[in-house]
Amino acid sequence: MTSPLLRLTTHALIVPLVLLGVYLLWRGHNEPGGGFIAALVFGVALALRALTDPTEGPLRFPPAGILLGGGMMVALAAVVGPLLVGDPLLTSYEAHVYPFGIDVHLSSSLVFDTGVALIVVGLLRGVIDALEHPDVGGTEDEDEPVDAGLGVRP
Amino acid sequence: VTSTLPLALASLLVVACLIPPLTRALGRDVGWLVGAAFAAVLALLLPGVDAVLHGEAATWSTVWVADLFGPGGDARLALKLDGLALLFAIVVLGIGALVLAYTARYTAKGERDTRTLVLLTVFAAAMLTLVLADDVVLLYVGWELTSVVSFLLIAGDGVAGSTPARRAFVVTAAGGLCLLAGLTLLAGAAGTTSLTEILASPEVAASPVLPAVGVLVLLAIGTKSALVPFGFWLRGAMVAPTPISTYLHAATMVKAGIYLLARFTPITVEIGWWTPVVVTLGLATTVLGGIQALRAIDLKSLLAGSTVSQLGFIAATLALGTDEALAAGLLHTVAHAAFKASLFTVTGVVDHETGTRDLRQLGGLRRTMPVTTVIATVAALSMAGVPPFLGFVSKEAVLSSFHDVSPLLMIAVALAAVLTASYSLRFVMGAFYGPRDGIGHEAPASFLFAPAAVAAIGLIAGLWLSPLDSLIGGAATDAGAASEPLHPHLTLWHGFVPPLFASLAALLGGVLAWWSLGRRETVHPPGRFDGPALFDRFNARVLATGAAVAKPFLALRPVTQLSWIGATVLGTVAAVAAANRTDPSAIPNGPLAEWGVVVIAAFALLVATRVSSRLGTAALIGGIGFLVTVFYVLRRAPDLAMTQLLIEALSVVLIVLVFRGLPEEFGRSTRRRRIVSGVAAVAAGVMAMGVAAALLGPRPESEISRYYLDLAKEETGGSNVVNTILVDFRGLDTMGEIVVLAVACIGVYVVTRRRQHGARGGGDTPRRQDR
Repeated sequence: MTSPLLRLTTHALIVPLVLLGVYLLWRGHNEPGGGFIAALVFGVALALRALTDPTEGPLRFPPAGILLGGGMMVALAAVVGPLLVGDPLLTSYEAHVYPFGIDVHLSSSLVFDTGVALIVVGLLRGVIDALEHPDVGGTEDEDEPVDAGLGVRP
Repeated sequence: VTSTLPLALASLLVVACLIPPLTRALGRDVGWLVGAAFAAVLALLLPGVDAVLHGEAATWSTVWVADLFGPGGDARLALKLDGLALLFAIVVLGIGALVLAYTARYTAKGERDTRTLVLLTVFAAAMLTLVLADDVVLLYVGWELTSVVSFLLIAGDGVAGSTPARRAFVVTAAGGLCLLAGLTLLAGAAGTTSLTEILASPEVAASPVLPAVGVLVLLAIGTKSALVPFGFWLRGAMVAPTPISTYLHAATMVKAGIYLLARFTPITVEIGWWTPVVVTLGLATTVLGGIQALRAIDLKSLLAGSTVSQLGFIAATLALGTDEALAAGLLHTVAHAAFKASLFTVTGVVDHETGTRDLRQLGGLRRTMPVTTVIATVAALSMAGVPPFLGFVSKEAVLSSFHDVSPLLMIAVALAAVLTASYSLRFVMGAFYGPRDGIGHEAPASFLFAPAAVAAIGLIAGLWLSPLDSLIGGAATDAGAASEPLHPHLTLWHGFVPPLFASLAALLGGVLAWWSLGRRETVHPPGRFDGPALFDRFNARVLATGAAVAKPFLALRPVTQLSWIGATVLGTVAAVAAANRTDPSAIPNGPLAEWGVVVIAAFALLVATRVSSRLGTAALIGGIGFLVTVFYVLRRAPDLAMTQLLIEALSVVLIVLVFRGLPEEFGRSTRRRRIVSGVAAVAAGVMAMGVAAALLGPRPESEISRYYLDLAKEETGGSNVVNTILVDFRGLDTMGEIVVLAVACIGVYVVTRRRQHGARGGGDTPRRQDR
């Protein structure tokens, strides 16, 4: 039922969308952007893929369980990490690096923001997967249990 | 001595850990070992006893939670062994040792009951914590632990135990919460969590919260020690095996309230209504418990009634608050622990050897179980208050302390004591004497060891009172915070004084009451004020209220859920907006193009309401969302525009995904539905617009905005202030929010999974919130 046009557009858009998301994530500390917005961009990519055939095309997204768990760990690391060096929770550190002579501003807030982004994408992934298989179990996939996205098999 | 206090607690826990492997090796005989361990722990505490009884309490303390109540307000793991704590520690560990030894034969041959043994040991640790605690936080923890372990022990009997266990737990835990509130008020008034300091604090004595503390503490005492009207849970608790009933529901746990009552005497004497109210409650409990015991057919039920009765008796005495009354009440606590433990364990023996506890089948056991009969008789005589048993001495002391307050009051107490004598007779005559031929056979000596030992305490202590004298004196001194040590001068013979006549009259009255009423073997159905039934009705009402509140949110139709949630959200927002409204006429005009956006959006909206294709509607709604993005761009809010654009794109795709499984066209809806939806939509729209108008006017820059704007760059290195608030200033909030998101996702997973499993299993019934 997927039209070739939609499929083609989707496949062409996914990589740019992900790159855009990463860019927005990185610049979020200083300009409009940030983890939540980046996650929404990733989410659009995810949703577009769900509209076409999610099993083909570039860049597979990890299952929701991995995204959620990973995001939680990254965010927690950013929250708790400073305790290890004796600073209060969530202390942010910054650094400037100069690859190819360009001044790139990095902040440890980025780590926390990445965790936020991963969790929001995980949520979207979980919801989209749940919506993708509205009739699971009863009709078509009797033999093969469908993973609703958390990466856990019943 | 000091470090032996934590050592005693720790060794009990070690014992609890050792029980499972030992039970596997030794079977039921492990009970002897655990009993010996209890005795050893008690022995650990004894070397310092002399000093303790001379007013030098052993203490041990370490910081538990630093600065829990502000700077310097540490919660401490503080233990203190003073006279009062010593008295209860001896009861807890001494009776505990005998009960644990008793389990060695109570458990059937070849069976083992690891769970009960472990829990009994943990209970002993909790109870010891409670009586040793010198910090109100620790005291509360011990108090609640005893409730929890009691629940587990009652519920251990499986299905039969679950309802009484729940009743017992709800009642005692509710009392525990009252205690928490009361202790919090006390700690607040005194500025410390140290129990010793709170009790001695002049601020507390003069505090206006004192009456509230009194009510809360009284509720805690009443629920734990089964005072009117909370006594009903204790009868239900009798479904537990006899060792548990003996230990928790006769000798120790129900005495926690008594302990608290004694411990808080320095505070409660400052409350004017305390003595009259608690004495009245106590005596009412004595009478009601006594009547229950006289009507009981089941031996354990009889003993439960008598326990309630005796607890009321002790509470009334302690509440008098005089030094003599404290000594008398504490002495009776010891006497009661001894004779009641003996009677319970005897009942367990009878149950074991005859297979019943029903008075209609028992009788004449003296022919088949002569030794058991002697033990039961000794214990019952002590309970009835016959000389020379300890029960007589303690009852005399109680009567005498009431006599000092008012002779009339003493007569009332003696009347209540009539019941004691008569149910003692009912127990011993109904089961062991009488015309019937006994059934069953005598129990082995090893089984009778514990009942005999506790019964012997009642006799020996009655005859040899001097060691008890200093113990009770020390306990009463520390309970009442008396300035000089008390010497109660316990004796069997006080001369021909009014309490003696009252005591003898009570005995005589008891015999008469037993003769005329106490021998009946009629079964009484529960009356109109049946505690458990009232509790169950109350409980059901609470649950029904909860279900009624939750009903809209448990509905299967999204419309029902969403309309409630939507109305709540809109209402709240409208209320907030009304409280913080600004002048809408001061909102600056944007470029003229804005009106173009409005016109196009309105047109798209109109079309959306007329379209019958689902996808078409989704596309139109998405289109309106994109138009809003244009509006944000025109107003130069790139953050908002970007978020709006993405959210809109995402929600259109999600809506399309949802619609994929549905027919392409909307079904025809009824006229009524259309009108209702239309009204709801217009109302929501008008409200949203009102909120926007009210909130969007110019307002002075707030302090907090200025703070963020000034410090963002410096503190966080970021210049996007919104983002720095999210990931830095309020980062912990964000952390909480993403946890919520993750949990929500797991919720989605569970719900969809369950639907799949339900479809597979064939029965797709949503689980009800049925406790």
